[in-house]
Amino acid sequence: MVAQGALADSAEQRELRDSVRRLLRDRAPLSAVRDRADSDNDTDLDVGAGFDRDLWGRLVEMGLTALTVPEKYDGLGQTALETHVVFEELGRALYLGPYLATVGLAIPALLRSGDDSACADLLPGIAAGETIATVAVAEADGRWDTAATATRAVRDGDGWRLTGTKEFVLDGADADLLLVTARHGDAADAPVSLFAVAADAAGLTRTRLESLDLARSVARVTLDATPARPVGAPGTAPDLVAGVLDRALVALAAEQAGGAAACLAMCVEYAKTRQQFGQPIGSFQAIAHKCVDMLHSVEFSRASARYAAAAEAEGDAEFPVAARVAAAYCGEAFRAVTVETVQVHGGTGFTWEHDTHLYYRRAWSSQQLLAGRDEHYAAIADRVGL
Amino acid sequence: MSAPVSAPISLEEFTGEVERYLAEHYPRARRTEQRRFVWGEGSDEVRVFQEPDPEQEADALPAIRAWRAGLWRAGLGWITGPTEYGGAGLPASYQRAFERVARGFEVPGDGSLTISLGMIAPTILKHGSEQQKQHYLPKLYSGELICCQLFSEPGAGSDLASLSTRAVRAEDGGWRVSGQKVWTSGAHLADIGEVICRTADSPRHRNLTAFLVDLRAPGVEVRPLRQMTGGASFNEVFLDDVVVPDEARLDAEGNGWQVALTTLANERNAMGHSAFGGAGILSTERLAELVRHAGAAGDPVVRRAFGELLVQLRAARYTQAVMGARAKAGDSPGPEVALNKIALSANMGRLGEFVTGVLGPKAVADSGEWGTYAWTSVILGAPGYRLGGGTDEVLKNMIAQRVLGLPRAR
Repeated sequence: MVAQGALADSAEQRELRDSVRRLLRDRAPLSAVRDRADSDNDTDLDVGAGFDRDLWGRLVEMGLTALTVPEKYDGLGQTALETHVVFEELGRALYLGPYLATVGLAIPALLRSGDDSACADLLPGIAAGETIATVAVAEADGRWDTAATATRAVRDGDGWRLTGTKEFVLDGADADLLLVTARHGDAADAPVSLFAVAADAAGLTRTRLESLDLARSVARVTLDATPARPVGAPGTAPDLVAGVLDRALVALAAEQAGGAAACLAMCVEYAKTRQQFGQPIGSFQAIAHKCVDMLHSVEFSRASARYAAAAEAEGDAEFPVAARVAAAYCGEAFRAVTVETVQVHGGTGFTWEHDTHLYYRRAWSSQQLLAGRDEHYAAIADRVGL
Repeated sequence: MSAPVSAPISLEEFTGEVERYLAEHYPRARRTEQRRFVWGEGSDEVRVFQEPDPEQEADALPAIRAWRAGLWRAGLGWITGPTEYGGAGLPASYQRAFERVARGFEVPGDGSLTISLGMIAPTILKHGSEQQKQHYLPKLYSGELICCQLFSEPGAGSDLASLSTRAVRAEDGGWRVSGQKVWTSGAHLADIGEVICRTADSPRHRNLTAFLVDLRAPGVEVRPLRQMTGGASFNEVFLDDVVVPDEARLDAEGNGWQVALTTLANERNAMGHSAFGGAGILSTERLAELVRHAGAAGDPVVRRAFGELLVQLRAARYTQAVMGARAKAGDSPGPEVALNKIALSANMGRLGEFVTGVLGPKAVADSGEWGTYAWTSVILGAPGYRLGGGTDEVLKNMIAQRVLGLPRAR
């Protein structure tokens, strides 16, 4: 049972929420996402130039990259509850930057590797916001499953060299550090391990891909005998990746809940002011009930994501199920909310100039980003013991 | 016997007191039996609506009343209630602690008194006169009095404010009440009923008045109402020139609508929070066992549907926990809790779809096999859940206006 105290914001969490919301409102308007998409085709951006470094500096100043890094690695030693609050606010504002990759993927990967020397070397830089990091697992089939890992790790003196192609790498073009899964040798059942690769390593090529979500940067990463450092014991990547995936899905669920909440607010505002047939459209049940259904989705999404984050923070036995419940519920709810958001806004909601499509793109993309809902359903059936 | 619980008392001390009291009066629950669902053992009943046999129900009542009376004497009868009306004046966390401890004992529970305690008592606390609160609240919480609510009428369902049961002033300053009420749960057991009556022709919402009517009075007739499941969980109540003294008026003349809204908010809260698992209807293990016994555990389509259903059931459970944590102790429920009731209704429907899909022809006729045809009471009962306590549509109108601030239809 998750403690009740963990399910509602503490005074400190409320303060954190308010300050992140205020900063993003002032510094990260949605128009910036559209402007960037207008002025540069995503793929033309130089490697490393995919986001607002200035704003990143402000997030770092607020300690957001250090939240879940233990104090012995120069972090703040906080829990998934604090990052939950941050992810919800980032999702609300459609924050465009490498926070999910760095804090949602790379930090849990390093911590779960149990590799103290890698953590001591790499986490302080991440906590200080100097190192942008990501985790690269998926290959040609796009799945976050090490069974399909074809990237090879070959010994080279004291070190290792990796060769292969990683697909759909979140913030891969902007990361300074890539944590990459690779297989020891050619046999399909050879062990898979995690390796750290520096962005400036030899043989590393990164290509920013055009992405459905205009506020998400995704890259193809190719490694050609690229030098790499092992992280964690050999062969531990499958469990490690599974654990990271659950945690990243909980972070993503909070983002989705925040995004859905932003859509609801837009719809309610519009339904109160838009006049047709001589009255605000929100007075029609067809529109009002849509908005209530959205509220339902938003409240249940926020609560599910919160519950999962609390279960994670407390190491509760419900976590493996709660993580996938949150992922499945929030993913589907956000997608459905954005579909109705366009509908409530009518023709104006279908224009490039309106914000609706930014959320719509985010929602459809996020639902497939790390794992799809059928994978969640199957995982839940497994985890409750059916 | 232990001394009545009184504040100040730490949560730990309180839990100890509860433990001591229950251990003194009730046997401990046998944990394995309570927790684990075993296929084929015990009853396979999975009802959405309780449809007790009237005799069994009457037989169970003395134990329930004794349970309440004992709790009341021990100072545990109304843990969060104000001390001036006999409550213990403790925060909601103490109430939850009580419930947690009580699950470890074989207690009769509140049973037929849940409407008295969950819906009527909070209404009297909010709207009653000082004298009414002093009189009724201890009697309700101690199980001495049972109360039901009489709101809906054949001609006034969703449009409750158009109800036509009349209360007319009599020469002696009292009232005479006449009309017909319907969908009344527990009227056959109740001593009094919260009745909403029309006391003027207009204006709408200001022409209603609430009364606490003695259901044993001449002119009151209670008849069971058979619903589409085949059983009877509700009553029809006929009121024919029933004499009601003015002291039984709840809140001011013309304030009946506000009184009704309070009761309805508490009803939805109670429904959204209702365990429903009493009969294990939403138990994961019961569903998993059904799938296994149907030989479908390896079927990826069934596994997918099972996962999809569990997402909805768990999300609803997590949301109740989060909403409970957000609400400050003792606050009356906000209008958004109606979402829980809407979710529960929808989940009943999803449950029926999933289960009949797994059962196949075993849902068509009773083959006698344990744990199969019994599920048909869920598909037959589920529609009632979308209607009772406010239809989905009426609740959405209420939420649109009161939570989202959307304008009313012109």
